Amino acid sequence: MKIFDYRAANSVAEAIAAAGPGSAFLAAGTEVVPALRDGLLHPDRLIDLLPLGLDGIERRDDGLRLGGLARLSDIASHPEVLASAPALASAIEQSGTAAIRSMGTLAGNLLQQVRCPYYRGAAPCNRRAPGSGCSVARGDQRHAALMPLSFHCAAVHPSDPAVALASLDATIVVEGRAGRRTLSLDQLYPAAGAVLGVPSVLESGDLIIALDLPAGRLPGRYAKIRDRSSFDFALVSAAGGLRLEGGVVVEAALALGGIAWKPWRCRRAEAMLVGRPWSADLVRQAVAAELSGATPLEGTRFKVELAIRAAATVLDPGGPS
Amino acid sequence: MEVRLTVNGRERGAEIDPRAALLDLLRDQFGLTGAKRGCERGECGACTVLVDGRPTLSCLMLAVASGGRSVTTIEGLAEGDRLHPLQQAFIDHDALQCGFCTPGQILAAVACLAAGRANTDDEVREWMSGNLCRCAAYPQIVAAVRAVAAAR
Amino acid sequence: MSAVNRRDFLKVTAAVGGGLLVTINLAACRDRGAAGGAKAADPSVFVRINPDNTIVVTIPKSEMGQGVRTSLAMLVAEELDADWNQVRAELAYYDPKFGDMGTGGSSSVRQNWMPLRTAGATLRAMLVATAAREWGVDPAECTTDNSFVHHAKGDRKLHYGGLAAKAASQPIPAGVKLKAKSEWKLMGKDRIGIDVGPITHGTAQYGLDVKVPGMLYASIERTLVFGGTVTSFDKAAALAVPGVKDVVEIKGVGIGVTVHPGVAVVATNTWAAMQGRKALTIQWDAGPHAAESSESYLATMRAAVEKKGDETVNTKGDPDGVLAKSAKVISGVFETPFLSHATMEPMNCTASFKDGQVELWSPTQYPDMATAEVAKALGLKPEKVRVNLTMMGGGFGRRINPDFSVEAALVSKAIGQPVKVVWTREDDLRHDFYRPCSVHRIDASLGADGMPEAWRHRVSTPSIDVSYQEKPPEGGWGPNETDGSANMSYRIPNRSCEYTLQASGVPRGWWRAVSTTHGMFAVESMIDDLAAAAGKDPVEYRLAMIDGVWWKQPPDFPEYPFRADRLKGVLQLAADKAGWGKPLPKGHAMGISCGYDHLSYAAEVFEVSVVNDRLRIHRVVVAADAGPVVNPNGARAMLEGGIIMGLSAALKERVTIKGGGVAQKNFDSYSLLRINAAPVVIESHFVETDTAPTGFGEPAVPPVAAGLANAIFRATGKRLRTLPLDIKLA
Ligand SMILES: Cc1cc2nc3c(=O)[nH]c(=O)nc-3n(C[C@H](O)[C@H](O)[C@H](O)COP(=O)(O)OP(=O)(O)OC[C@H]3O[C@@H](n4cnc5c(N)ncnc54)[C@H](O)[C@@H]3O)c2cc1C
Ligand code: FES
Ligand code: FES
Repeated sequence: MKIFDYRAANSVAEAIAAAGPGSAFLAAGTEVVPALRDGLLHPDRLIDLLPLGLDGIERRDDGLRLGGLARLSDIASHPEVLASAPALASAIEQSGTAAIRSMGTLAGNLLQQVRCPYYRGAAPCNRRAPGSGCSVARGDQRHAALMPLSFHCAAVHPSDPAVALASLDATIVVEGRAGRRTLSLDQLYPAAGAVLGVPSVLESGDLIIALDLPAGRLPGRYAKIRDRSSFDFALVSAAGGLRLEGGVVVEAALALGGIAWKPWRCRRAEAMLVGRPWSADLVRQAVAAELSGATPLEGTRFKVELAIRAAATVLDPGGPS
Repeated sequence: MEVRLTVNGRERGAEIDPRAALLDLLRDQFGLTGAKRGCERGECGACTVLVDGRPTLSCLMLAVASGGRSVTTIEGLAEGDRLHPLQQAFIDHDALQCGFCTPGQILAAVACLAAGRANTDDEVREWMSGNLCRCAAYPQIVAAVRAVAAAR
Repeated sequence: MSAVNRRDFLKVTAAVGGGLLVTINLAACRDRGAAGGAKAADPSVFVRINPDNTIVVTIPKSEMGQGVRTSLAMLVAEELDADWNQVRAELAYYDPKFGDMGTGGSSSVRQNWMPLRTAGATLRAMLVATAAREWGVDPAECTTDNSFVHHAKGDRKLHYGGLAAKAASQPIPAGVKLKAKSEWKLMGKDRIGIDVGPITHGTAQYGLDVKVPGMLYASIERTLVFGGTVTSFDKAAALAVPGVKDVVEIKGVGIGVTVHPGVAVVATNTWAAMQGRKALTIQWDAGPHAAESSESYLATMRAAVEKKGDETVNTKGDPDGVLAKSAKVISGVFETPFLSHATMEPMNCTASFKDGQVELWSPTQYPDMATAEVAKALGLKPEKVRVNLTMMGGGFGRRINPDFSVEAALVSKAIGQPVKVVWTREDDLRHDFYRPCSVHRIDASLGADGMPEAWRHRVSTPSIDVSYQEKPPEGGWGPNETDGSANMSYRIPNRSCEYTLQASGVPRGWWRAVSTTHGMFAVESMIDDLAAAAGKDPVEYRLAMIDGVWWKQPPDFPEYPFRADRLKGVLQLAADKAGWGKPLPKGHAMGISCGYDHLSYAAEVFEVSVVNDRLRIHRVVVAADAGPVVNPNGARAMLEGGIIMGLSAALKERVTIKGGGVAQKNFDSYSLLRINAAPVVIESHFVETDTAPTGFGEPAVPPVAAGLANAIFRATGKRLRTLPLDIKLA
């Protein structure tokens, strides 16, 4: 591990100014520290953001604002979040362990690297060693994407909260060298076919200061399917909800996790649902249609069925609300 | 690098390598070996301490980042001779075998109670699932935490 | 049992600083049993009675969580009528004089049962005699309780602490009488662990916590391919890391010790040592095992059990003939993987070599072996090696191997300074001594009455013994590897067990309960299949067949013969307590299994349901018979811990060999059962057969996998024959 210059940031401006080509931001470090140890990250400078605070959770006229450095557990137990975005609280509760949730920040969670075993191993991986190849094609595909970023990488985005946030239309407030801008969750992650290496489109000096949850969205639920109960990343997950009037779907939101390099907002499925009388079969058809564009690897095909099951759980009007 | 922090109520300073984890600082420099090194990956919970009251895996936190913060380790949990109720409960319920995981279990349990997540056995089991115990004193650990919760 | 009725096994002297010191020579008493040959007649256990009335028992066994300090101290304290609150336990350092200090095979209470109780009773008699003389009364009028001698008539009492110094000069009485079980005050009642305060305070010293003056830290890059060797290495980059002091090559040692070849980086702190290690460039010769893999082993083991085994471990009647003629042969092939011990405390050891002597602080389960192997590796006489025992973060058999002790001694000798060799979790998982993988094939046929007529069991595994010795023991490699298979205790007129050795470069070792962990899985699953085929109740079926083993008794312990009534006893009790045969909630089913391991008996019932392919374990009931229970609390903890460890292996654990090395690295890929997945209800019951006690540490483990698989079979109709079982927990 390279010796780096450690800086505790005193202000957002100072943090941005200190950033440069060889620097990295540090929040709680649950992702950064193992990456440093494994040699996956070798910054010249580490800029500690935690002294900035940026961890408030506040109600605003147009929704909720979550500080970029709010700890996951503080978000999940916040009454406003529990009331208006239970899907997010539930997604957090199903992430990692109590200590990880208590340490980990929201921004850090959205920006975590992939958990693909090849990324953290020695086998070829384009993400770790660009140009070396992707080992998924001939290797273990259980945790790979149904809809990969590109031919060069089949890893999925591991975050649970991101899936819930996608279903809630969250926007991300970024402060950077060129000032402030907001991104949708879809915009935070690279577009299909993009060049690899980084989990997001943020550039050096871009600092997530907050996330906004717009008011009036379906509160939703979160369902996570994983290999061992508790403490594992999702094989497939779903966030979202429905509103029915007289048995007819009038509003629907759905995002899927564990199937792509980003949380997958299911606009096509939502459009198929709205205006039709709810039935379990309708949900199945809608999710199947959403995923019909996928050309899955042999070892990821099972995820279609899992996605349908996860979606059915959150889009069940009779389920717990 | 120089770091100054509060450990178990006492101000302490040390000269450290910026790459060292809080766990290294506590164990190797301060001689507080109650926090154990079990995996260094956030998988086992043996290194759990409290940082500003938060349950923290000290293997995943840089020591330099602990500057100005307040760290509580298992060694600082008792008040003088008076054991923390969870320490006593772990003894009374035999919630340990080899004891290697115990400091981490106790600190995770302290946080579990503080978070109000010890109302049912299942809540405790869920909260404590980041702390491995190879000896599998699990039934007794649940009993110990629940007993303290019930007494509150 | 009269063996200990001799005076010379006890020595009583006045203690420095007042009080009295008893030395108990365990070797002397054990020699008299039929068990072993003569050993050095030197002291072993110490009991000190201090003037302040505290009593300190020095325990010659490794404490690794099995509660040995508590139960051994109880043996002394019971007969002594001591005040339990004033009893302390201390760990001994190893001295060859202590005799066998190896801790394993659930042997601690068994070996110390007579000597420690006799010592307590003798001491009590001496304290009574001292008090009686003081008062000028007949010792027979005196009673003892809570570390006091009482004289009821005179309404007088005296403290043991005050009597101790004078008692030291009393003659040692012979032939003291031991208490009957009905007279026990301490034993048989729940006791919490002795001296656990330092653990909950975080001040208990495990191997990893040892610090000696001037100590450096070392991290070793070992060959990741078993059998690989270092051809060359460049240490410049490692030496350039600030804090790194030295780089030392470690040559591989011995077939038994299996110190892997590698390069040690020595530094002023762990951190720098690890960084230096990463900076090393090493050229390796992969050696002869580089092409081996779990698949390659499976392929040859599967082929091996399709034909007659290389060794016939035992045979009775004509199983081959009966099977050849029978209209319906029922067969099952069972497969199990390598397993890692994964103790919570990774291996480590601190050593200080100076002036031709070496002192170690080692979390070892077997100081005798550590001493011998360190002496051998360093070319020293054993008396130049001193091993201090530390607390241990779990053992389960892993710490019998002296590899980590030898490594530390080698590094310390090379650098001439005290050093602690620290293993990472990755090192620990990839350089374990693994529970061998195995393939079992059982073919059986039933008679007209539905009872088995023929049973042919073929086993193929890499042998554990091969890791430690060049030549097979008398009788071949098979008998040890087929424990739980060849000696299964069902009466079947035609039966045989065959064994074929599987070659492998993977180091093998003793994993809690050893070979029965896979043998019993095969046997108990198969018996269940036969019961189902015969349309019989699995409990009745077993009860009808359990019999005195016809093969051979565990040869080392003729004083503990296998007893069919004890196995039947636990089976019946487990079934009764579980409510076997009674109606269950919808969707629930029960499975049962039972077995004999390390001289103890256990039967287990699992109540499960399977919904959407996900398994729920609602309840586990275990009944065990290891003779009288010294500390029920401790015994229950062993049973419950054993069951959960067995479930972890049955549902999750698998070491995969790829390219001659271990594929798993940390707990994310070698996952253990966590608290949220452990069964909520485990009920433990005891059958306390009136014999000398055996142990609870191991017998609960082997029945688990089959019991669970049997329950899943009854819930779903699906028979799972491969471990870990292909089913996910809800
Ligand atoms: C054992 C384990 C299990 C886990 N299980 C799950 C799980 O089941 N589900 C799940 O969703 N997650 C899981 N996680 C991931 C965990 O939630 C994240 O590691 C954590 O939230 C990251 O937050 P952090 O503050 O520690 O980030 P850090 O490690 O400090 O930073 C992570 C990344 O984010 C960048 N960054 C941090 N803050 C900002 C900011 N404000 N602006 C710009 N960049 C920033 C850093 O530069 C770095 O690249 C698990 C982690 C571990 C260790
Ligand atoms: S050592 Fe920190 S979680 Fe295992
Ligand atoms: S008590 Fe041994 S690991 Fe928990």
